[in-house]
Amino acid sequence: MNNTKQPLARKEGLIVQELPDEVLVYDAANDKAHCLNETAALVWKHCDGKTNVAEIAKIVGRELNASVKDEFVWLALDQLEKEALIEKEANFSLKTFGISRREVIKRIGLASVIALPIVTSLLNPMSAQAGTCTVPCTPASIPGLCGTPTAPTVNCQSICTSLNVCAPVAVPRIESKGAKKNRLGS
Amino acid sequence: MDAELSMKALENKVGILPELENKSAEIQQRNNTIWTTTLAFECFGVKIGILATAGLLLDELRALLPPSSNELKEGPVDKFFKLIISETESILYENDFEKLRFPGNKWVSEALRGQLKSCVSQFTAERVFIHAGVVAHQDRLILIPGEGFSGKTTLTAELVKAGAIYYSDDFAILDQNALVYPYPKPLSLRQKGANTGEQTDYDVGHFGGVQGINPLPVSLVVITEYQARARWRPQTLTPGEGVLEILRHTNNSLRQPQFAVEVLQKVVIQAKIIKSKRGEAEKAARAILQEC
Repeated sequence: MNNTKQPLARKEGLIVQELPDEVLVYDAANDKAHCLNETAALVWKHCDGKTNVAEIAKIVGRELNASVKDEFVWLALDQLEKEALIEKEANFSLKTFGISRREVIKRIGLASVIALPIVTSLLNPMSAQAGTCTVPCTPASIPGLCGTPTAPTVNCQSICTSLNVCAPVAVPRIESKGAKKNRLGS
Repeated sequence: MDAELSMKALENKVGILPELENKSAEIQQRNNTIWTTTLAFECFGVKIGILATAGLLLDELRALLPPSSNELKEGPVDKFFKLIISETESILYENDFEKLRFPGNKWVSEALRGQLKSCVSQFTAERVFIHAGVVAHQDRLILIPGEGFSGKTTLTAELVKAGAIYYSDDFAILDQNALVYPYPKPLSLRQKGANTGEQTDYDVGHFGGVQGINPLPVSLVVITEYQARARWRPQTLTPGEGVLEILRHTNNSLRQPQFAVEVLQKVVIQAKIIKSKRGEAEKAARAILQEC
């Protein structure tokens, strides 16, 4: 891992809202919403394209009043890059270094008392449901008629349920890209 | 001026171009269709025109308009729906593209009602529309976002039976200050265990409740869905987690993301957000009211 790399936060097409201890980012280009916990948000905030990984670790450590290893920043960058929240020029994916997230968490150490960076993401289900029919549908004896696209421009994502109702296709679940237990040592 | 517009007048209002009419051979084939009922309305800033063939009277059509709709006497409109009704098959077009086709004419009204409501909720820029059950208890507003078949109306009805004031079983409508307005409609309940999507409408008085009037800020957000024999074990979510959960059910978040996110931020900062599976609605309703 090259700690002299200088990550740059993406700005274009993002709606950013500050919340207590979190940052909410809506990516209008990809119809995705992201919730950055405090530490992920801190790393992202310092991705100015001029500050390298090692320097970000020091700055974040100072702000949190704790020791922050470079791997901690890599863990955040890996998630931020995956969600297209940093520019793609430099590669911050842990996969390309053949290192797993679990391995990085080990390296950060169990003694750490600060929350691991977590980016929780949601693909806006409304993007899949645009044009969805949500009405009682045809009897089961004539399956598939409900919402069947008959023109190429129709994008009805509905299915006929066993209850004879046009229902949206499965709503995506919210995914957390960080560790499940977000606070080491607790 | 008569609100019942002629087809020609309405088509002029909605700006239908002849080439659009010719796009689909199927629509072209139906050029001889006689529109007997026409109507244009505005709801939360979205202007919609409707043309229907025989089988749907104007008063029946008016009854299908979403709450807070006002009939328009002049155009233009943003969207239009065409409904071709026959005993063998009915077809609903949205802006000249086929949206729904179903045998017979049994579901015509429900189909159109659903589409009009959905269209307004997705395109309005005046309010944030969250698919949710909404009640108030001691001036504290409870928001229960959820998809269809998650048991929203059942839980809303139980909350009303337990003394809560009814706001909506369908949409929470929020202004830019995150105040929630009532969406006055009857509660639409499916028969327990019924194997169809058919719903029966009940006035809130049926459950011994009253309709809320005043806009209120959200005090409690409850993320829940029915699961047989599930125990009520609420977990408190962070504001950020809360926004993601609510955003899943925010109909105009796709077209108005900035507005939606700003309003939801205000909601989660002021409200407590809890999440739990629930078993029977009666028990869950009691537990929810205790959270207030």
